Amino acid sequence: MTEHERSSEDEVSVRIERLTKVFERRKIAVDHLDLEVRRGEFFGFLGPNGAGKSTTIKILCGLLRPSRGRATVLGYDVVKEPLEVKARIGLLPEEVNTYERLTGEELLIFTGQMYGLSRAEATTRAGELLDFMEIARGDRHKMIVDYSMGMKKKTVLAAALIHGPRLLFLDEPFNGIDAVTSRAIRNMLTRAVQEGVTIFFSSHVLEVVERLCTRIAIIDRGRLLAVGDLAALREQTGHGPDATLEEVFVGLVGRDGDRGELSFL
Amino acid sequence: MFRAKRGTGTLVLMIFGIAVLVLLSCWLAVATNGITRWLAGEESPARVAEWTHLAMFLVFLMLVTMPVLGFASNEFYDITKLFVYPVSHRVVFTAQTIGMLFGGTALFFLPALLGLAAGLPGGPGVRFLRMGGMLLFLFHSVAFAQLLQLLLLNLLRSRRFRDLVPIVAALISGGIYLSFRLLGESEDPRRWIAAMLDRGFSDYLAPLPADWLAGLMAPGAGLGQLAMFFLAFVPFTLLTVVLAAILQERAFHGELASPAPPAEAASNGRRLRAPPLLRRLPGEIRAIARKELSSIRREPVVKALFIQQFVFVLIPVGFAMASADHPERALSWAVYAFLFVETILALNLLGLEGRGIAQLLATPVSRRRVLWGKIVANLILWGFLNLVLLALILVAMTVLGAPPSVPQFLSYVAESVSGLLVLLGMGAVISVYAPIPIGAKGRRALSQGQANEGCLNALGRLGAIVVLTFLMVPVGILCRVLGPGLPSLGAPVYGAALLWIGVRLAGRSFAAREEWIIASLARSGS
Repeated sequence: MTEHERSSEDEVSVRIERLTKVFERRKIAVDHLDLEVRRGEFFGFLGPNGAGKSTTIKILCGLLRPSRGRATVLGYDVVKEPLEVKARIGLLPEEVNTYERLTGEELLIFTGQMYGLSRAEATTRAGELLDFMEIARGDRHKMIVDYSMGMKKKTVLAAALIHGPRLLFLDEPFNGIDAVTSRAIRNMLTRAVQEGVTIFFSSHVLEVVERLCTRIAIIDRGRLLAVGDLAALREQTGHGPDATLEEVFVGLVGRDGDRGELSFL
Repeated sequence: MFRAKRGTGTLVLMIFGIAVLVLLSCWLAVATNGITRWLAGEESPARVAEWTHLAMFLVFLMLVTMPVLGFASNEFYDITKLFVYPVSHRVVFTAQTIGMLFGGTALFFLPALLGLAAGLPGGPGVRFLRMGGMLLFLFHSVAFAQLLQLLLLNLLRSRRFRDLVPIVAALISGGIYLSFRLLGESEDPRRWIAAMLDRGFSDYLAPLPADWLAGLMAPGAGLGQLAMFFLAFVPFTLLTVVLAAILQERAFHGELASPAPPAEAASNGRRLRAPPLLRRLPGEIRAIARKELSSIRREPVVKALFIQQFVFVLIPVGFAMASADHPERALSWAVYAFLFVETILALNLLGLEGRGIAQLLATPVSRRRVLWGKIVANLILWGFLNLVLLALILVAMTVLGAPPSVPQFLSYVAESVSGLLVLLGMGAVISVYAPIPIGAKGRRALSQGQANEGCLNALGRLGAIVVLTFLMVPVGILCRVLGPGLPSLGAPVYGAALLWIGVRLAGRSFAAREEWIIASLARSGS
């Protein structure tokens, strides 16, 4: 990518063009997806189960290769320059798959070093992050395998933040996390966005998405259904100004959730 | 390309597995019956009695320990999972007892017990009663196993116990292998069995109910004694069942087992400090090496693999060396044999990553550095173990009166270093093209859905060993034919060159294969 192209990308954190991912047995997970996320946006990425959200996020993080199309993250091509992309992003995947035989503190220090931090700097940041996530000092030296689901999630979220990424991919970040810590994380993320960090946020909790996100994209079966702020989405779907995101979402996906009654209930 | 449906493959494997188990069970019954008849024919009632005691104790031990060891991997053993359903604890208890009685373990050992009873001398009435006694013994053992499970419920559900299981299982399988090996090594197995029986091990088993029954089953017991047994043993078995039922009722009401696994003690926070030389390495390589060494130290499956490799690789080599014409010369070949132990980690550098691989590959570290981090960890681990091995070889050869000269010993060192380097070079390539998950999650993934890949993996491993042998020929020539002395120094250089080539090749393909590597190690699908 040329200097000119890179500078024109400065205001765009994520650019997706005709992105397609076809898995084995011709299962199309992402189907000609076009999307643009601007710098400093709290961007909501929604869709029903199996819509292709996690696959898209994995492609954008360089963990999956697209079958067709192109994606750039912070100006870097995810296929040609995956390490440049990875150096600048943080990822919290939906499934907490981590090194369970490391302690929480060890995981954070290890992750920090993987992003080029010195051990001393990584240790300092790890302590600060673990304090923020309210992981008790006694628990930091326990192996992650002994953590509760919420503690695991908080630790992996802390690992995604340790290098101060400019773009965060968060897939269901509040699952299993207590209300108090959830609130602290939400406030922290909002502050980060104000300072220019972009957040690519995927969740099924539409109230949280509605409250936090400045723009929202809704996909289904790998295809983009709509994108814009809530007002634009309401307009696209013909909803009034008081319609909730849930109503808009259900209207767009075309499945209203009313499936009649069960014969035995 | 033809691709078998997973369902069909699993079915074929299941049928094959059942057929093997049935054959094994029948073989066990024939062997038990044969030994009993042979001992009875020798007219040595003491040995027959000892054999009966030991055989029944072993069956009792297996019936009691297998559900305990299988608790972590078989969720059906955890009855508390059934407590969420609207079923009374009596129903759960009865179902579990019946399930265990007609379960694989009990049915597997039943023919052996019947074979034992049928082989004991006595009239038809006595034999019939003995058969009934064996069925009661089986029921008693199952009830006892259930009681033990309920008593240890909290312990069995803990992570520490789960970690212990693969190690204990490896020790048991190693012990069984060693026993058979010793039996096979003896010139006359019959004499070996007789010598074992003459040692009177059963004296130590007297407090166990299984041993009381064995005493009554042994030859010489008449109908009256057997009838007495039923009178005494039936209430005892019923008591066991009642105790188990009470414990289960307590568990049902939440008085015995906590719903969540108990809190674990903090793991020891020992940190490995890198040697000064390693501190010069890039931070990412040191961090990966440190993480790898922590995982190796803490992952129980790795410990189990170590035990297995030591038992199944080093012991046969030890036997072969001990029976060689010149054991002191044969000893020097141990450095080559040790390479096979090293293969468990060195040929599968990414194996320990498991599901964490996605997290590692989400970082911007160059893939060559990832491989180098793993290689450094392996060099530290196997380098240390090779030093221990070389020291043992030196001591053993000195004790046998043939201490090696300094050039000879240095050539052993050169062989061990170059062997490790060659292995790691191969490992770098194999790890990128055929990584296999190691560890509890990986193991489970393999056993559940990828069993058919097991054969391919085994074949691949065999092929790798053939290639390794081929690649080690120059080392042998340099150190054994042209050496010892200066030519031996060429071996580590050769090994280092292969390692460098291996990492270059693997690093080149790594990025293109990342998606596949993640899928192979994490088994997370799309």
